[in-house]
Amino acid sequence: MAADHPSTQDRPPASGIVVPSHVAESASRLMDDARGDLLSLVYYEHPLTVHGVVVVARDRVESYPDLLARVHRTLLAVPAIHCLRWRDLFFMALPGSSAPPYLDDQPHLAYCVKYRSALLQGRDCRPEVPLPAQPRLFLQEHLRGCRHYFRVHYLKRLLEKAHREVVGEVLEEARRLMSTALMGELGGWQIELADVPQRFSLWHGTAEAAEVVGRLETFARRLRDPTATLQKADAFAVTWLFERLLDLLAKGGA
Amino acid sequence: MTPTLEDYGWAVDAFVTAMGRLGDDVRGILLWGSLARGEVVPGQSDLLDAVVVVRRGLLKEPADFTRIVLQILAACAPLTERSLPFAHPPMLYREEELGDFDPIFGPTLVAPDASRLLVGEDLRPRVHWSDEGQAAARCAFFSMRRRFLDRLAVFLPPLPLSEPHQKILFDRLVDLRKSFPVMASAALGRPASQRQALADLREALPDLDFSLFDEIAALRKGERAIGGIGGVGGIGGPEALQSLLRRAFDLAERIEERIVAAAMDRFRDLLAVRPGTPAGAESGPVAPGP
Repeated sequence: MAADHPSTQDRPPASGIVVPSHVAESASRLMDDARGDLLSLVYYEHPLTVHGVVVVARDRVESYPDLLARVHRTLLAVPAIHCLRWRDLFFMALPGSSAPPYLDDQPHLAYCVKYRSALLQGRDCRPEVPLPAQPRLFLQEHLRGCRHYFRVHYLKRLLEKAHREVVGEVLEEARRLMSTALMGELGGWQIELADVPQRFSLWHGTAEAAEVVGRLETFARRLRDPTATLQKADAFAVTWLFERLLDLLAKGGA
Repeated sequence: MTPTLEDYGWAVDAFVTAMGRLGDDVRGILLWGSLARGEVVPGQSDLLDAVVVVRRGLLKEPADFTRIVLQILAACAPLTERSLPFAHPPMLYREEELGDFDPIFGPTLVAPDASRLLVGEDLRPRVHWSDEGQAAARCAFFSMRRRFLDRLAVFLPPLPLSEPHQKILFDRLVDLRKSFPVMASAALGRPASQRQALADLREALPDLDFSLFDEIAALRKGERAIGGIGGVGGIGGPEALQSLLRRAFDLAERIEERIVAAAMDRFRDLLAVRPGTPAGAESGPVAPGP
């Protein structure tokens, strides 16, 4: 099975990244307020969090907690903030701890910061950001997170009889999981979440994947229809499909 | 009405009895957390920290899946109707999944002093975490810090903490006390249970001050108080809570430095382009001014 994307190695940063004006203004204000401590601010697009900002501090700052407070207060409207020192830029390419349904943007982070980004302020840190060497580790961690945390989450939602919400949340996590499976050279970082199921199914190329994804997408269409009712049986059916997806990926994906 | 220890015991018994209706499909049920350790703080300790292990391959058919899930929900439903702090249903694992367990949580589940077999076969000897899982666990401290700790910096001065702010911050500090030591231990290559992790850290890093966690524990048990949090006679108010948070940041800084110093070679194996080259740090292009 081959990726239908060009190699991500040595790819130049994307052009045409549109930085929301409120992010640009906040970043400018932050740089002015903390100029002595900050080296670089980079805006990036991300298929899971929409966008985020990487804030790079000098290796030595007077008070790192006070700098963090300033960063998080100034960039309050930014959904994902990664504040780290220049020497620690490689953290962005390491696997993290996956605890779904909490969002983990780590799988695509290094790719997005390098290739779907715009320098906002200061020096360009992007050439210094490494890429993950073993993308499969991220998928395995996501699978472990789903077994450990997401099962408890969907059981809790079923207990609350939040059936429509279960369907929505399971479909969302299934897409995130498929997105993680498409990590690295498979180009998942440039595939928006809505397009992930189809791309995943094509990449996996098995009848079982096509069936599971097709049935999940049928639920997604019903969920988008405000007049469609989603009941207990639907919540159980979609949750079981999610378990089949976990199995499919645990078997070694493609 | 504050629940009693007996209420917690009743809840565990009721859950096990209800799960018994699944017969041999359930291979074992394990209890962990404060109930298993005998450290319940009535009214505060979560119910129900349990792991249900079902037999191999069981969830593959939709009818089996539905039957198992319905019974788990039926076993949990009565627990939500009392004044117990029912936080979440149990974890659900299939027998074949025990070999690739979460390496951060796994040591807590298998430690005899941190978990307890409720019913069925004791499957703890079969719980393992893979080398690859451990490789990821060694990095989890970094992302945990950035996702969960860093954002708490908004609670630092000059923000005047309202009472709701204090409650939120204290709850987060309690969470931190649970997750920080196990993640730091895993990052240092010494996976340990929740009960053992702090002692291991003190042994591995004797020059660092971990008393912050003792103080959070004392506050939670009501042995100490800050403002309206903890026992009677609070001292220091919100500023003392902010001071605890600042100490958590300082400790995270020191530990992160040690982790990187101790394991940089391992991290390089995980990176396609190795860090540490000086180019770019001083020579990258500079963004135009605002």
